[in-house]
Amino acid sequence: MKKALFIAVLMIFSCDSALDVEIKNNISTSNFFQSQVDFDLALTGAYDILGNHQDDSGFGTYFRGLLCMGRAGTDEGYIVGSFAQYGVELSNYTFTSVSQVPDRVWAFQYKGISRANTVITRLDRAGDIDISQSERDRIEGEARFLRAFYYFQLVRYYGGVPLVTEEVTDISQVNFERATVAEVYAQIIEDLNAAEQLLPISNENGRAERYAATAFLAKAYLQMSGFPLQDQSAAALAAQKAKEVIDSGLYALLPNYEDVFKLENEYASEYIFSVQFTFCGNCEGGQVGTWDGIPGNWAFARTYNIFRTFNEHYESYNPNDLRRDYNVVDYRIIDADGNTTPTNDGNKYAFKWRHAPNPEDRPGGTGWFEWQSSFDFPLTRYADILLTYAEAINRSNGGPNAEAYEAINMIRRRGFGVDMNMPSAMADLPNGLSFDAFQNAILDERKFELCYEGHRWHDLVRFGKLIDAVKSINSPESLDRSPAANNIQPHHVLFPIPQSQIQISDGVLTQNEGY
Amino acid sequence: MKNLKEKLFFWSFIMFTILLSAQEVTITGNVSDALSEAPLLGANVLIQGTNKGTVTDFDGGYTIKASVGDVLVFSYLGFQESTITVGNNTTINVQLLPGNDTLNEIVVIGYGTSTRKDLSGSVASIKPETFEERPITTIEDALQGNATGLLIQSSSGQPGAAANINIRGISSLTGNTQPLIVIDGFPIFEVNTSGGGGLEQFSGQISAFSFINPNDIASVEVLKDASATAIYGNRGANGVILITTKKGKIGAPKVNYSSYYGVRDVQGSYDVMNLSQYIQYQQEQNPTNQLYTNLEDNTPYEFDENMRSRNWQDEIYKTGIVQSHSISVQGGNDMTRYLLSGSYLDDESIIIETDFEKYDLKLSLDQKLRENVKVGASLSYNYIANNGVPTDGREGTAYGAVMGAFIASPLRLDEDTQAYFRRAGVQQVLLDDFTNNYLGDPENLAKNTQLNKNLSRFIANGYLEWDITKKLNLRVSGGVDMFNGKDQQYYPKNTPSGFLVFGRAIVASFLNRSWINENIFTYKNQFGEDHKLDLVAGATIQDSHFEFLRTENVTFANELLGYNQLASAAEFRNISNVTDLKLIGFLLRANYTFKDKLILTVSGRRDGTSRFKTDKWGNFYSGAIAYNLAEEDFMKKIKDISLFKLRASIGETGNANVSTLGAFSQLRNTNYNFNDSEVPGQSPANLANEDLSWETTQQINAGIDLSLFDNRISLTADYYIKKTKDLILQTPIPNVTGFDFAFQNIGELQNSGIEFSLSTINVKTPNFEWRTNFNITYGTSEINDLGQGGQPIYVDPNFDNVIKDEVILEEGGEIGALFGYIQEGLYQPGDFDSSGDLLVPGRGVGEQPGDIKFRDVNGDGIVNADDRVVIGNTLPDYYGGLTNTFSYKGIDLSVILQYSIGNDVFHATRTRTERFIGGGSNQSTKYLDRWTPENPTSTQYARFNSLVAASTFVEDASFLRIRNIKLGYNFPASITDKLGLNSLRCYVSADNLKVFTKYTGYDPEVSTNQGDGSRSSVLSSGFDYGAFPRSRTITFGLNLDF
Repeated sequence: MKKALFIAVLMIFSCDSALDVEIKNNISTSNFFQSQVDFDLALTGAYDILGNHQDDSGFGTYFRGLLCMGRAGTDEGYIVGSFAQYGVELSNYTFTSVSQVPDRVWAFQYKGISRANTVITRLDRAGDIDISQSERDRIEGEARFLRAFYYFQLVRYYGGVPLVTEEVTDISQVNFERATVAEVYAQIIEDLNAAEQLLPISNENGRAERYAATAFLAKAYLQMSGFPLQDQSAAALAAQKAKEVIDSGLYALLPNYEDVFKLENEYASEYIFSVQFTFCGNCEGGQVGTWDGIPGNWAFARTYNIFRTFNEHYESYNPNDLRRDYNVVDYRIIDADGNTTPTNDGNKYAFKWRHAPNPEDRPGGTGWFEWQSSFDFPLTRYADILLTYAEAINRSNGGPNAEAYEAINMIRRRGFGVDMNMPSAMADLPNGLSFDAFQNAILDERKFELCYEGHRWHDLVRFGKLIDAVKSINSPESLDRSPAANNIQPHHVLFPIPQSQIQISDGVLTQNEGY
Repeated sequence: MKNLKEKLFFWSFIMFTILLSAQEVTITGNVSDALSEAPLLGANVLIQGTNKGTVTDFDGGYTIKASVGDVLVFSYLGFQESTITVGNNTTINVQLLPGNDTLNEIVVIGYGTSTRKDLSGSVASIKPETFEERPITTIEDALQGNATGLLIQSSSGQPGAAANINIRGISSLTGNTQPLIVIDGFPIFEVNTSGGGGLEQFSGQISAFSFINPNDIASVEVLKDASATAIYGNRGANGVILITTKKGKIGAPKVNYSSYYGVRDVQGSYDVMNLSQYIQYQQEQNPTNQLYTNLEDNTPYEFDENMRSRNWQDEIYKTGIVQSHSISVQGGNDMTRYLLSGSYLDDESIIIETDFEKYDLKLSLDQKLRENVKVGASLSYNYIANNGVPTDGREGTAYGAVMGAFIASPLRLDEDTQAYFRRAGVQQVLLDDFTNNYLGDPENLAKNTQLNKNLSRFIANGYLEWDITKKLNLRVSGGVDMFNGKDQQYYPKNTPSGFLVFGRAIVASFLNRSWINENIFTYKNQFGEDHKLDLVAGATIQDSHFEFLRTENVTFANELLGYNQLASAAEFRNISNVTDLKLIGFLLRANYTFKDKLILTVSGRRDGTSRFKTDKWGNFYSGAIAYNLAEEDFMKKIKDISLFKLRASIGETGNANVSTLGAFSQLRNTNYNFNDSEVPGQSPANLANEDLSWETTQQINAGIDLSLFDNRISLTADYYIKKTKDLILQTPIPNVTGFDFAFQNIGELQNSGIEFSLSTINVKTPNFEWRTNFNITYGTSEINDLGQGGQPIYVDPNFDNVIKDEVILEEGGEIGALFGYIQEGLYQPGDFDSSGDLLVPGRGVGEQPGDIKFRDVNGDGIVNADDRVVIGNTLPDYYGGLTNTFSYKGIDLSVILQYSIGNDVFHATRTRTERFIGGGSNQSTKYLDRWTPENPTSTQYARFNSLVAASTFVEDASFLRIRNIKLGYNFPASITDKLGLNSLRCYVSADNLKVFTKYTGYDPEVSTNQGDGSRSSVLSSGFDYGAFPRSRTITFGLNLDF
């Protein structure tokens, strides 16, 4: 008896596999990446970073953080309220290297990069799995597009950042040293070029397609041609890429400016690539429109008006420009029919994406508010590419040409409510503008047309005008006199590298100047 | 065989003798401890005036021949003698009352028992009398303040709420710092009692202890030092709590019924503004609120001052009824012993719509198969039905009833109130808008939200004990633990969180199934007079399987049936989850005693767990020495010292409590939307550390036990140093990897402390006795190393999304440290220049006179995130208890005090109630005394414009609590005999009678649930965010035996 027990004990002891337990709460990575479906699932994860709200409450994504960074701290708008301190400090230039949004935006871009890297690395290593060449190309193309997009965010916000282009399975294999700005752009261009070759011309709504890569090549080259790289040769490439998008014939301006922001048009010909938000009980809705907007009545306008616009922005429009009174308002809605009454509070409100005043007319009905908004956030649309084209020509030629004029005037005419394709004395820019005058006209036009869409901060940095623009906002009639004008410093053209990351890297990662 | 022959002979002889002497009767019975009811082995039974006698057997049983009229004397070391005259009854069961001698009390230790005298390790015992007859739903409440080194911080006053239990400090920075809980030798796993989601996520988890019926407990032992805990290997590092349940006793069937009935009420209140004050506040700070200010011309409406105000605290609190009924039957003979008990508890608590019901059933059977073989089983079934109300809540509109009672507008727009508004000039359309959209009414929330839990736990243990020889014993035991839970929640459309999504139902079910097998050899031998040796060796294997299924359903077309008809929901999401865990251990312990004065103990355990990938096995050991000076000849002369024991121990234990995400690479769901519909995705969930292994805690303990004056004074003191290294720490890693954290074995922390307990018998006369127990624990912690270049780790208790990093772990710092800005007075007009800008830059958040001024700690001329420092600590410096018991004839009185000194609470409720920045929320009456240009000497800030963690909200939560006062009366035999009862007792008891504290919230003992599913986020404990208040309870109770 005793003997038998000891033997039993010894058997358990010698058998280490007795302690092997199958992981069932999640899929084990070792059992994954076996089929096209697996790769598509992983690719979806790489997109998820754009609009994710479940992780870190969206502080690093377009759910929350990127509705502050890139929009606030410019001359197009600011953030108020105790609820959104993390946004107020971006707005006021009181953020530091430990501030939440810059910290999370950094982290989430790298999460996106990491997920894209996993897809690319695993696809590269995948042996004989059942996947057609075209699907393989599409998956790799989308992954490379996303990786380029996330690096494009990083390089614009933080300057040169560490380049990680392989799946990380062991911390010791990572080089934390910062690459130069040019090296990061080189990686972006390489990935976008590859994506352009690999991606299909048309893809499922919400996914990157060929000309999304082309459009971002144009945008990346354009940014390279301005501050800080000032790469003259990039401007021509930007013009070339923008032209390719225009010439593809796949995209067009919608005839009416207001229609661009209607929910039913989110996949219309104007849009090239957007962050996808969808209302449903459990899936990922966004806060596009709800962060902006007008003050109560709550029932008819479910918005927080945390992000507001400046009186200066309103005043800068031509009074005949219909976009002024569409984008900027100072009223509240008082009934389900959308009737309004002035707020009389001296504030101006950004009201680009508008919930239907009648709850019955909203998708999802009265439940639709807060994070349940269905509005997508445009990352680039055709108007952006037309303006990119005009600016790229001006930069590469040292002055505008007819095509540049036509590109900007089309947008202006639509904004003034006249026929886009017919010259208009009221809307068109005066002829014979100098390089500088045309540059200024484009910078202004980008604000009139693309305000609140996350371009302004990058535009001002590219033009070297961020500090002047922010300092110009000191409106005495504005109730929320922006402290940013006093606080902004030359080093604010870059955000701080998160202090936590510098500490973890044991000083290998270096801080941007001034922080 | 020889044994059997001998016994046959013996029994025949006895029978023969009985036949011969007709006058003599054979008396049988048993002797037991009157308090613990444990059988007393080796008690002397003597016929007075003769030398005829016997001793009791292992089960306390005895047989003696005596004549009618003889006087039997029962005696046992450490117990008071008892004499009984032999009458016609041939069964005489005796219960001995403990004497002053506590040295020979049985103490349960891991895989065996010992006595207080022979113990070499540090073990605290808690007797049931400290928690019997108290209206408690979990025994955590009862253990508070009763043992040194045991810190129990309740989370709230919710019935059954879990508490943070820590033995000798927090020795781990992982999620789990709770001790291992062993019930009758069966280590139980913590179980999940929450489906999460909705508001339930932020209300308390139900404690693992709530499944135990306090009436079934025979003793609780707290194992503290390594000598005591090393036998539990990689589960012992946080200490061990051993719970031993009652077993049947030899004797005629005995029935016990005990019951109490009590009323609970809430203590204290939090002052918020009444309606007229609130209206004034709205007009001043929120002039865009159309209900109070006419926006046509921006003039405040004038309201009737007599308009009825509503204090929501009065609406949601009630006087609650608590009642309990327990009945047990027990008995047995030499061969069989049994105990059957059942109990019912109903706690309505103090918040409306709250009800906690519990049913317990327990059966314990022990059967002798042969003289040397015994089998037994114990089965227990517990069922809890808990209907609750969301209390704690979170940011935005998703707050619970308690928070709602503070911040909801102090009015209900009934017809009367609407008339007042109309008279002031408010348009009806605005009133309608308010009534239609105003969902924050906490009474409405409590009445309409359904949070129902049904939990059941079945634990069955069986054992076979075989005395292979007189010295060698084998015990084979096995058990199963089946836990089933269902969590059902419904948030209707007319409550804030249901309004968002047209009604939300969450239904979750969980199953935790575990089994255990243990095979333990025990060898006991005595060599000559002086040398005693005890050996324990064995193997244990335990397996746990957890299943979780949760479905969340929204958009209900019809809400009538709520979560009972999920088919009414238009959209749903299901989650299922399975986790397995396997543990194998081999253990060994040797205990050597020399002449009762030198005790040596060594133990070792080899332990394996499935949670690690490449490094599954660990070895743990301990060694202890104890030396009882009192047994030395030169000390024996001093009669007043009966025990003078010096103890020292050293050892290593482990903690392997980590999720599979530590060592195993996994993916997780990461969905996105394509073409306006949700598409599933999978992304790497973790950067797995395949070399992850257990963390190790080394502990050194030195102690002294002293008993003086015939044990009238007993004193125990211990000093310990506990060093934990290779912490299983989810450390920040460079997030260019795509991951913010990964599990690593990194860092080191140290806990040290002094424990002191003193028991005295102050007065002892035949009629009157007064005893005092006092204990105090002083503990301190230091984080020696966190790896990662010394970077601090910040913890976000996450009660809101606004302020972060309120807790800091930093090298050189203490565990439990709160982190933030230091308030340094208020900004005065003189701090600003003529254009309203600050002369010395502030945080750049639009500072105004009357705002809080924060200290520029580093003196760099600006106040920014670098100026945040440690602003408090949620763990006490000292804590303990003081118990006095008095008995006079049949009357007894006990007074239990509990205290905690030096602990802070982050009063997070005030981040909602003391902002004064407008918005619809009602606010604290402190607003009325705020700084204004007209009230420039006020130290109350005018507003907290830009919310940050600050000393402003950190309050000293030291307290002295009158935990319990109980007055009892035992009816004399003259009455009980007439009633046909063995005993009858009744009592009145006041629980949580009064708390003396400076803390301004309801109760300084608080820890709002953090909503991360882990019931023991001890690192973020000590936050009060609308926690369920603790009640005062007055009960009347009855105990009878027949």
